[in-house]
Amino acid sequence: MTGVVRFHVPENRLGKLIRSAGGKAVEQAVKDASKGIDSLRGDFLSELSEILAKAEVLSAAVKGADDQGGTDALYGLISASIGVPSACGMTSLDEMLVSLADLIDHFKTHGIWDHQAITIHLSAFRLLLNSESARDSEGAKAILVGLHKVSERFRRTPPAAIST
Amino acid sequence: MVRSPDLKAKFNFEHASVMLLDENPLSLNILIQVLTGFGAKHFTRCTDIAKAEDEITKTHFDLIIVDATGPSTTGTKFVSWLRRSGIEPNCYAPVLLTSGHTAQNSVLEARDCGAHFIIAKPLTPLIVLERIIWIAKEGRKFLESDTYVGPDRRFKNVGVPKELEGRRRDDTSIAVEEAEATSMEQGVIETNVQAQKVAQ
Repeated sequence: MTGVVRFHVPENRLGKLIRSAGGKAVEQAVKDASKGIDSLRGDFLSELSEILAKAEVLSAAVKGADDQGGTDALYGLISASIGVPSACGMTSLDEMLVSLADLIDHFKTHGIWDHQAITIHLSAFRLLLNSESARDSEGAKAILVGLHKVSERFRRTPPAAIST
Repeated sequence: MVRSPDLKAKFNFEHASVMLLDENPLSLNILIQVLTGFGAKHFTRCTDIAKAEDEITKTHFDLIIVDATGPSTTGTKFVSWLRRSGIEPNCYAPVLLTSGHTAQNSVLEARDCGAHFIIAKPLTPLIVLERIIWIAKEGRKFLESDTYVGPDRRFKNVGVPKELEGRRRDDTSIAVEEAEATSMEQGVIETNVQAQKVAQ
C-alpha cells in the first residue's frame, strides 16, 4: 500500500449512553422485544401470502438466464423476505427462502436458469405457509431435505452440463 | 468474540438516536419492535438511500442499522458513502449491517463497506442486543486509507496471515530474528515467574 493510513479513536457516544443510569435488564428487554415481534404476526401472515403470489408472477415472467431484470426482481423479493417468517414462528419457511435465494444467486452467478427448480421451491413455500401439518418439525424437515437435493443437483453439475 | 450479555445486567437505550435503513417495510417493522423492546424511543426510518443521506446531515445518530439484502446493494453503498462523507460525528457512528442473503458477488463489498458488524437474518432480539452492547463497549479504532474507511477490521489481533507480509509499521516480521542480547538464566526466570497450582 502506498497511500497514507490514519488511525484514530472516535468518541464512543453509544457506550456512554447505554452505561447511563436507568434502562432495562437484558432479560426484560429481550422479553419485551419478543412480545413486540409477536404483535406483528397477524399482519405478516397476509403479507407472506402476497409475497408468494408476487414471486409466482415474477418467476413465470423470467425469460431465461439472460433475463437479468427478471432474475434480479425475483431474487430481490425472496432475499428481502428472509427473516419475516421467523417473526411469525415459521422458521422452516425462512430456511426455504434462504435455499431459494441461494439457488437464484447460483443461477445468476453461473448464467443458468431452471424454471422447474424454482417452481418446486415456490410449491414448498405455498405448502409451508398454508398447511399447519407441513410446518411441524418432521413434515418441514422432509420438505427441506427435498429442496436441498434440488439445489445440490445444480451445485454438483458443471453449469455447461445443465440444460437451461 | 461476542459473548452473551449477563441477563440481569442493565443498559440504557432510552436516549439513543437510531437510524434504520431497510428497503423492506416488513423488516423495518421487525427491527422497530426489537429496538422498542430494548427501550429505544428515537428512530429515523428510511426505506431509500436518498432519505438516509439527507437524514445524516440533519441528526446526530448513536447507532445506524442498515440492511444489505438483495441485488440493489443500497445498504453497502450507503455505508461506504457515510464513511467517506466527512459528516461528523455520523461518519464514525456504529453501523450494524443486516442481511437476509448476501449474493456471491457482494460478499467482499459487504465486508469492506465499513460496517462494525454483519448480522444474518432472521434477527433474534438477543443476537441484536449482544451486537449492540458489544459495539458500545469496545470503542474500536477507526482506519482511513485510500481503499478502506471504517472501523479497524483487525480487532482481534492474530497477526499477519502466514503467506502475507505485514502492511503496518507495527506488524512484526514473520521470520524470528537473532537474539540481540544473552538469554535470561533459568534461575532469574524462576525467581520472576512462580509456578502456581491451577484448578482443573
